Parts: sequence; C-alpha cells; structure tokens
Amino acid sequence: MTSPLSPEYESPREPRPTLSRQHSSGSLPVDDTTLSPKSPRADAFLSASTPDIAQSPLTPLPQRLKSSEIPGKGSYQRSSSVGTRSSSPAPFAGNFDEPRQIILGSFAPRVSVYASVDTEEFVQGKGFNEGFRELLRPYGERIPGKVVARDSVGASKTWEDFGIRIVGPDDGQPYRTPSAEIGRSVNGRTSGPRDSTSSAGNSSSPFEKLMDHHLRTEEIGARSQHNGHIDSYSNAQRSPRTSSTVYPLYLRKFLSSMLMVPYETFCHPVACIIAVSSRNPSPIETLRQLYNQSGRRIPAFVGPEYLRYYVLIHDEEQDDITKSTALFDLMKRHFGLHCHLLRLRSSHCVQSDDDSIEVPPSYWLTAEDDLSQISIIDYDPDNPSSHYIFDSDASAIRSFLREMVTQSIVPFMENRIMTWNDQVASRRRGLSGRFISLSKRFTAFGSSRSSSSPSSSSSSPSTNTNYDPHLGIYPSSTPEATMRTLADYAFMLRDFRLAYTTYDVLRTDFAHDKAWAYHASANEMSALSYLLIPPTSPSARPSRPTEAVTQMLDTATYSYLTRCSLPFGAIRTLTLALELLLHHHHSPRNNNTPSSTQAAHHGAKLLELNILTPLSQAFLTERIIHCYDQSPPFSKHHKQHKRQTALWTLLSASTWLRIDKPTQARRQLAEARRLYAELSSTSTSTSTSTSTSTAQQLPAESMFPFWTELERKLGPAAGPSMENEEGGEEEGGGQGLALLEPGLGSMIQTQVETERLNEVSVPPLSPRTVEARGDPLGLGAELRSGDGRGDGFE
Amino acid sequence: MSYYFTIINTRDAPLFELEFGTSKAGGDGAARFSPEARAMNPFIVHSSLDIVDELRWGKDAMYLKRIDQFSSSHISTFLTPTSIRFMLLHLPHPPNLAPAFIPSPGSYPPFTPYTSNPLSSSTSSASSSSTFKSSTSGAGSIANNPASPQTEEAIRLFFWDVFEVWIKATMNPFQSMEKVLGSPVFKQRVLGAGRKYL
Repeated sequence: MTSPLSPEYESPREPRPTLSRQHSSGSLPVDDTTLSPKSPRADAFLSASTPDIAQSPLTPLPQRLKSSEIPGKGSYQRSSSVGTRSSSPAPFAGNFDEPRQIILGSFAPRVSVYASVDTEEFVQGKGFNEGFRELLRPYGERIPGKVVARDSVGASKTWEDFGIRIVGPDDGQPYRTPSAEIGRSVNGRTSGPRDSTSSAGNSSSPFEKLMDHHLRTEEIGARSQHNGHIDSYSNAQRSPRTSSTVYPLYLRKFLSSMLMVPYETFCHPVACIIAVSSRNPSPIETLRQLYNQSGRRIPAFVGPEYLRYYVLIHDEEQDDITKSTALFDLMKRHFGLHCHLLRLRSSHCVQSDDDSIEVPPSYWLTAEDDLSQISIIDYDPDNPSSHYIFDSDASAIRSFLREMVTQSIVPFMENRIMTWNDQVASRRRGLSGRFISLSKRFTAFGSSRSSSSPSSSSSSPSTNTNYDPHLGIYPSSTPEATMRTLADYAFMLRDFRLAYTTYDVLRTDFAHDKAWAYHASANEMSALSYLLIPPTSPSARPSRPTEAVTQMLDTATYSYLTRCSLPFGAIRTLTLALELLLHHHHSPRNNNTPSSTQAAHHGAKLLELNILTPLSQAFLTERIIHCYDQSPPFSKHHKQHKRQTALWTLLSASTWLRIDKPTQARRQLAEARRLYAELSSTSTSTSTSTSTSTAQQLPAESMFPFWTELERKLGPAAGPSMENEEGGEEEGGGQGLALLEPGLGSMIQTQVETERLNEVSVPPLSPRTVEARGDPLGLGAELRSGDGRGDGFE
Repeated sequence: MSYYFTIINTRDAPLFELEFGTSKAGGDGAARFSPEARAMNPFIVHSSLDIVDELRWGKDAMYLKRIDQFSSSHISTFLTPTSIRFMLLHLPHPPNLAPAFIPSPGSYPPFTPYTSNPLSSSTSSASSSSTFKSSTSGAGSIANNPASPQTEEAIRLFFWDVFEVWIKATMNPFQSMEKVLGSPVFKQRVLGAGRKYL
C-alpha cells in the first residue's frame, strides 16, 4: 500500500476510521491521542521497513518481495511436524523449537478476520475451504524480517520472530469445546462440558489423540532410521538424554488451546481484519456491516476498542485494477490509514503450475483442527496434503501482513500502552493511587465488619469496587480491566518490565476484591514476566528474590485450582514456570538452589496435584529429567543430582508404560539402567556381587522388585509368538540410538542383550522381595480393569 | 505415620533396612506402605542422597533434619562422622488411613503411589476466606505433620539412640563398617527406639 509511508501518514489526524465514532462514545478517553508524526517511532518504522516495500503496491509484486522473503523462509520452515507428510526436509532453524520461543510465540496478538461472503468465495475458489483466515494464518505466525517495538522507557527492541495469530471471529470463545482436557476435573467441581470431555475417556480427547499420533510417528521415525532412511524428523536436535521429540509440539498444542476468558486478554482480539473483494457490488456498505459485526460478535467482557484494519482484495485475473484503485482510494478516505489493497490471483493453483509454492503448515492450530487435518491426510493419501499458491500471491500476503503488523498493529499497541500507562496505571501507582486503594481497603473493611449477613456484605462491596461478583468480571471499561489489558499488551510486545510492575500492582487489587480468577492470572503472569525480564541489564531487574516468584506461582496455582477450579490455568502456570526457570541461568542463587532444580520442584509439584492425564504426566516427567540433567556440576568430575536424574528416568519409564507406549518406556528404561550402572560403578565398586546382570548394579537389593517388574512388563510379558516382533522392535530402538550417539548406542545394545539374559535367568530374590513382587507398579490391576488403556499388554 | 529407615554406607549401598509404623497416638507400630510405595522407597531414599551431598559440607550438625520431600513422603537424615548416612523416610498419611482416593469415572491414576496432601492454603497470601480454613484442618494434627518442630525433635532423639546402638554394633570386631548389618539385636534396638520416640 502506498499510504502509510507517503505524506498521508504524517497527517496528525487520528487514524481511526470515521465509522467507529458511534462505538467509541462510551469508552475510555484514549482516542484523542494519536501517533504523533514527529515521534521517533514513526521514523523507526520507516527505517525498519525495507525500501522496496515502500514502493507502490501497484507495481508487480514478485520482484518486490524477493528480498523480504528470504530471511523468513529459512527460519520459518521446520522439519515436518506431521511425520506422514511427505514434504521435503527443511533446514532446521536453531531455536524455533526452544520452549522459550514457543512460550513467547504463544502470547502473540490475536487478529480476528471478518471477511465478506464474496471474499470467502474468492478464497475458496483458490482451494482454501475455511476461507480468508486459512489463507492468512500460516503467514501471520511468523512475520518475515524484523519488527521493532518500543518499550515504556523509549528503548526500541528488535524482534526477528514476531508473529500474530490469525483467528476466526468465534475462535477461542468458551462455548466451543474447552480444551482444558489435559487438566482433570478437580473434585468434580467443573463445568458441564469439561466434565463430559474428561469422562468420555482420556483417549478420546483431540489433544490426547493428536499426541498419540505424533508419538507413533516418532516410533516410525525411529524405525525408519533403522532401515536407513534418516529423515529429517528424527534428525532433529534431540537432547543428549534422548527426550521425546514430540515435547515441543506438546507444549505448542497445549498453549494454543488457550481460551477467550475475562480474566486475561491474550485471546482477546488486538485487531481485526475486515476484508472485502473487488467482486462486491457495494463494498463500502459491506465493510460497514462487517464493522458492526466486529463489535457485536465478541463476548461482553471483551473491550470493543480494538483496531480495525480494512482490506480490499483485488482479483488480478478478472477485475479491472483501475476500478479497484479508485475503490481503494475511496476506502482510504472513509476509513483512514489502516487500509490495504491485496492483489491476488483468483485461479486455483496446483503443484504443477509454474511458480507454485507450498503453503507452509501452521503451527498454532488447535489440537482439534490439527487432528482433522491429519485424519484427512490419512484417509486419502492421494489428496494433496498441502495447499499450493502462486509465488506472487504468497509475497503479496507476506508484505500485506508485514505492513499491517509494523505500521498498524504494533504502533496501535504501543500507543495504547503509552496512553493507559499515563492515564490509568501511573495514577494508580502514584502516591494518590496508594491513598485511594488504602481508603478503599478501609471502607471495605469497615463495611464487612459492620455487616454480618452475607447478603449485605455481597452487595456492599459493589459500591466501592468495580468487580462484579455475580458475573465474576470487571467490565472492560474499569481501570482494573484496562490495566490488565495494558499489562497484557506490554507482555505481547515483550516489554516484560512494564508488564511485571503492572501485574504486581494488580495482584494486590484483585486479592482485595476477591476476584480470584483475576488474582490467579495476575500472579501467574507477574511471575512469568519476572522470569522473562532479560538479564542483560542487571540494574533494570527489580530486586526481588526468587522466593517471591515461587510464592506468586504457589498463589496462582492455589487460586486457579482450589478457588476457581481451573486446572488448565494451574497446569499452564507450573509448566511455563518450569520452562522459564530451566533456562534462567542468571537467577540469583537462592540458598544455593540452582534455578533448574527449582524448575524440577515446580514440575514435581504439578505432578502431585494429580490433575494431569497420564500422557501429560509422561511428558512432564521427561522435562523433570531434563531439569535435573541441566543442574550445574558439583565439581569437575561429580555431577550434581545424578541420582535424582536416575530416579526420574525410571519413573518416566513406568509412566510411559502406564499409557501403553513401550517404545518410549524402553528407551527410558535403558537410560535409567545406564545411569544406575554409572552410579554404581563410581560408588559401589567394591560390591561383592560378581554377577554381570544389570539389575545387580542397582545400589540396593530392595530396589529389585520395582525394577524387575518394570522389565517384566516391558519385555517377555508377550507370548512366545510375539517375542520375535518385540525383540526386533527393541533392536530397532537400540539402533536408532546408535545413530545418534555411537558410544551410548553400543552400550545400550549390550545392555539390551543382558536384558535378554535377565529374561532367562531372573536374579535370585530374597523372600521379602518375592513377597513384595506381587504387583509393585499396580499395573496389573489397571490392565485387567479393561479401561482400554492397557490393551496389548496381556 | 509410616517409617522406612535405612543406613547407607559411603558407597551408596544400604547396610540396614527397616520398616515400622508409629507407636504414638494408638498406632500399632506396623508400617502401612502400599506395595507400590514399598517398592519405590529405596529409590526415593537413594535420590535424596543428592541433597545430602549438597548439604553435608555446609552444616556442622550431624542431624541434617528434614532434607527432601517426594510427593507426600519426607526424608530426614543423620550423618555420622564416618559419612555413614542414616535416612528416615516418613509418610504422614498411610494410604489405608488417609481418606480413600475414590476414583471417579474418567479420572486418572495418581502419579505417585503416595497419597498427596491437600494443597495447603498457607501458600496463599489472602486466605482470609472462611471456606478454605476447613480444608486445612485435616492435616492439622501435630503428630502427623512432618514439618513440625515436635516431629523434628522426635526424629533427632531417635537418630541419636540409633547412633549409639550403631556404634556399639560396629565395634564388634567381626563386623565391618561397610558390610550389611544383620544382627537381630540391633534390629530390636532400632525398633525399640522407634517405639520410644516415633
């Protein structure tokens, strides 16, 4: 688009569409602040965008975008996440799968799409059945090139991996199936639909199904590696401790199931795209209708004050460009600067076409959508598993999204942050704000003391607090809701310092109002944003000990779980805390406890809460192993927490076994055997045992029953007819490891053989052990109970 | 409260293992570990040796107090001058005495064989609400609270008694410091100390 960089952009006029006047009347007085043309921010954006993008959009697109396409391409594509897809292995881009990157990516601004009927028809003609948002979605997840955002102190930061999430207008709204299904209902106190998903059996929820699919794919990957096909999937960077490669996917799918809830605004739309095509007979009228829709189709607790972005899609093949240009000029006059003319070809592109390129897969689909895609692929292998579009279309979409993000969405959010920070937050933070909150507290205290009956006490707080205890929300226009939005915007633009201070203020306010869901969320986010504050500037870090973080996390977990019955929130809190602490090497040491150990403690806490499905337990156990594995070495030759690592590896083996995943269980058991053997070779070298059996290498004789039971379940439990197959599979796993780590692989290989020996000659057990051997894992009962999980193990 | 007591030598091998239950407050002195928990105990204690390794150089006292926790089982340690470690695993809610875990349809098995305590409300900053006070009263009894000073003191006395017996046992010229202690007298004495203090 010509506009934003042309002189028009510098007009001091508020870039709001004229149409929005009717809606902005009852809202916060923030509209009159504009993007000042003289602000250095505008310059920053001018320099950030490449000069070729600044050209007129009316010139042919392909040449223009070659340059901006390149930086995105290599790092965006990833080794195929769906193993059955036959897409060529793309170069694995360093940190794309880093948990920290996933976490940052998951809190991306949501942009909802309102497209007119003719637009949807146009896009469906190109082969995208879900319409315009399906076409945009994969490109929005990763905006090519750098995106510059300014923080509250005016320092600009550049992000290479910025993205937005393109959603449909109704996506993520709570009346869809709640995807907290990995959280189990606690004490049965959950809402109806969630109960139904959990009672339907854990194997049937989309999330579990999807993970199951990928775990199987991982097994196939390991096996095909054995056959000599080293595909990129298994070649991905595995941690030396052979943790599951599915984990990044698990984390991503878990985080992509966030819902639109009142107490946090991450899933509320930051902007919406209102699209109309050149085929429309009355485009301006349609845009007007869509605009009205965009105010009505959101839940009441979502503030209607978000950015509207208007797009005209021009059909390159059938429509006249001069007409479209004229219409576009009209649009700009009506709606202001947030407009774009997107030129697309209308014909359906197939792979054999000249300049066809594959549409990249989108990584942030919800589990349900992802699963339906996979099932389509599995059902019909001839079906083209991926879409193709023309190269020119792809570059047009990329440049459109980049322009929208860098010139409209990010400035809009910065503008909001600045305004709210000035008008709401600083007033609250200042001296008078303290007085206000103090006096509020006093009056509330007095009223609660004077009124003994619960009915009057529930009505009296409404006079001095903005919280609506019946609906459980703060209306979107209250200072509390505004500050929450401010903090979330700051978090999404990665100004974690501002986010932290704002959440910190909100925590106490919400606790005082007994808005527990808000309270939990504010505690969670303040802990997370504290952990995300970059360590480069030690002076900028608020001087709070990490004990405070632990306490915030505990409070968040308790509020989520006990007060609000929101297991999803509790799981997210502790999972993300684990990931962030794990990579938080700069934390001031607290009682000599390294942060990775703290991470492991949070993980263990989450396991104890007993809200995870067995599958999530298995993944989390692997992460805890990773945590202990990361702890700094005790001395040069002595690794800290080696015994803990060994314990959790063993637990992980038994967890995988519990959910009927023998491949993963075998891998972990082999690892545990190696660890315990290492431990005993360094410490119990004088052991009198002369047997070479690996079980004998355990430090204590009383450990045998657990171990042998595990081995029995994994190994020879299958009948003699199954034995060959089982053995072959085992060997496959061993070989796969051998390719990854030659030394370790051969070690495991020999151990696999010793395991076979064990199968033949069970080590002598003391009478006590035999007695205890009945069923130490409690697996037999589970298998026999026939709940569908244990099939194949009898 | 159920106890699993073990003496671990410098090479991480157990020299002595014993399970017993509380004799206070009407307890019959029998351990009430579930079979799963019983199989897990040695692994838990073994992994806590990591924590002992961390703490042993920083503290003067031989009694290291409660050092670790796995799910609801706690581990206390006593370190002899010769780096022999007395480890005591104590589980406050034996599974068959704790409120039974009633599996509702569609629920998942707990991760550990140990029952977990109800989430304590002491972590929350504003636990003024009256509805949550009742939930914590279940774990209130002092004898069952592994973190209380009373428990700590009782375990200290127990450890010192065992230490005394252990010195006598290892002064036997036919007994090596690094060999398994099979003496029935020693076992009786440890059980006696357990009855007396725990």
